[in-house]
Amino acid sequence: MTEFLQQLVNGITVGSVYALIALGYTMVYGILMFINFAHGEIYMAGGFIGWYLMTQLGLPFLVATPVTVLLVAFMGVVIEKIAYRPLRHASRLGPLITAIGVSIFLQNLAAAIFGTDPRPFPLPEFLERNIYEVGGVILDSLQIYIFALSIVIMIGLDLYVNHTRMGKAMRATKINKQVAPLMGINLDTVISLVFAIGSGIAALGGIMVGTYYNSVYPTMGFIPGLVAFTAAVLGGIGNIRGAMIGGMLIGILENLGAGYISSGFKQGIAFFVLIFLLLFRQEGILGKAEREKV
Amino acid sequence: MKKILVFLLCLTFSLGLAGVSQADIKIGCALPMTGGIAFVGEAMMQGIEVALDEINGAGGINGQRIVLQLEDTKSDPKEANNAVAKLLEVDKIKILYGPARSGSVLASKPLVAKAGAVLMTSVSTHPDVPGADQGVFRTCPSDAAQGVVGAKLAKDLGLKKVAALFENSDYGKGLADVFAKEAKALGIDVPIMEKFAPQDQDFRTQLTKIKGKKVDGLYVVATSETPNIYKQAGLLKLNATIIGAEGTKDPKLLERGGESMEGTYATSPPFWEESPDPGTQKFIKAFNAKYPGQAVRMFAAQGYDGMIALAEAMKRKGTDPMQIRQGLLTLKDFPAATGSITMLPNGDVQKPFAVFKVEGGKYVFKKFMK
Repeated sequence: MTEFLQQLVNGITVGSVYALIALGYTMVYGILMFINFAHGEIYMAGGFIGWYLMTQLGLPFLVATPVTVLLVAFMGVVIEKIAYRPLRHASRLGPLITAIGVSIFLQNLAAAIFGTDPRPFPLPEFLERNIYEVGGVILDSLQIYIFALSIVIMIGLDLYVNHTRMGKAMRATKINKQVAPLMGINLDTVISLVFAIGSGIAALGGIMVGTYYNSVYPTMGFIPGLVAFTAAVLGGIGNIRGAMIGGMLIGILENLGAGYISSGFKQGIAFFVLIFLLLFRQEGILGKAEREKV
Repeated sequence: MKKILVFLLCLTFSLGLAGVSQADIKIGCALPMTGGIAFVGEAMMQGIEVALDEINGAGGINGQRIVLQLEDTKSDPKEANNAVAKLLEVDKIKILYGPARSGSVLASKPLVAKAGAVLMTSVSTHPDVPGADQGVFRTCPSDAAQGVVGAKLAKDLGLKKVAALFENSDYGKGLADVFAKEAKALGIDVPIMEKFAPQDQDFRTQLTKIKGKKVDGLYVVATSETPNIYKQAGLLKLNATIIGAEGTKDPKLLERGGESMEGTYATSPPFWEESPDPGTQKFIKAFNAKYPGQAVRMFAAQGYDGMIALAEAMKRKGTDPMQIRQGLLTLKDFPAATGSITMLPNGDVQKPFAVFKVEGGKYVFKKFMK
């Protein structure tokens, strides 16, 4: 039982981060109907820029983090403008392939600038890393912070999308990209905003993971990116709450699967879930089955 | 030039007179001198040169000097195969040294066997490389050999129940399997073998499982990129003595693992600059004299070892390939730069490994183990 609970704790922590990354996938998909495969690299960029600001420029954690989030959000907007916007009216395969290109480009750029060795990520100076033991289950204070911060961000995003004017514009664009501009919504602004928010949140995920694992490296975004994409599909792609639930679930499944079946499967579990889902419930947990508009 | 001409003339003359071959012994070297792993070939050549100075300086093999014919494998397995074929078939050289990559040696094996030649390699660690019947020998231990030492160390430390945690690769799995087999033979229980993907940073899942088995030891096969094994084992209060294979004796790992590595053990090939082994010290001294100011790489020491093993075999049994094969098999505790060489009947080598313990933030040498 203790072991089960411990695996659950491990899974929820990782799941929180998957959920944060999944948000970016799902928001972009919801509006543009395309999967931004470079999103995992955006998360990596967050980790690296955070690392650079903290260790190389010596900025304190509380300054470096918001600066990183802003920089990466800006980066997301620029990438959309350069790589995706010109292809907005191309076939759906176009931006998808560009996204893979951007992903490979960013990975190699990071390797060229920072080298391929993992870089040690500092602990926030104000944070004391405590270990709590509750009935044999060990809780790391970092795990608690990651979970709490993720929940706050997710609730914040949910409130923003559902209760603000810009949020309303996003929802309207999601429902119909052709009609929304007729209602006075600036499509470009909405899309840029979606990229900015998704990238900013992913950057925060990168910093949290950097802190949690004490390392950042150029390929760190690849697998988590794919897993988070699966999480977004699991929750129902395009659905923000679905992405949160999907992320948590995948994190937990991954740990329980590795814990009780075989650790060799750890990275495969998410994709097994993906295949299973595509066979039986393509719309995911919270998604609505939509008929293709002809 | 003149000198050489005179020398050659004398040589032919003496050959004609005596009718006995007093010519040089030619060894064909196929090493990567250009391309991706050129640094391996370069370092090996440095070591080989040190060995040749020593051998030829002391009068060669019963008066015959060893000379090299070097072929570049260009770090390419295909080129390596061509180089070996050329040395055997065009140059008719039956004593070969190299190539570096295990795959290249494996590809060359049938050629060597067919030609009745002998091939020595000193950096290829794949378990299938050696084959005394086919004439292929090596002076670096198999990838997996360290697992045996890990198990013996666990026994020495009085551990009863040891888990294995290894990188999910041929190398990691091979080592962990050998460890488990040897540990069981020594009466140590190995209740769980867990793996992780290269570049994984999260080992909590595996460590939680391992903790559930209430082990008192953990055998780790990992690289410098995995300080989190140590950190997370500490965070999860695993309370087990950790023994790591060679990848865990790495200053970079220690720097990142920090305090969490205190009190853990690591085994590694017995070559480092402060080694108390006289064979190692002799090589380092000779190397520094020949290449002042250059760093001594392990590949250089390994290059040296392969050459002195060949020379010793020739001294013992003669310079014909078949005699060299026999000669190599007689090597036992023969002093070398990377630990004494004991040749096993299958052409593989048994070497000691060095055991280190992390004490006060440093790797402290404890003992050699075989």
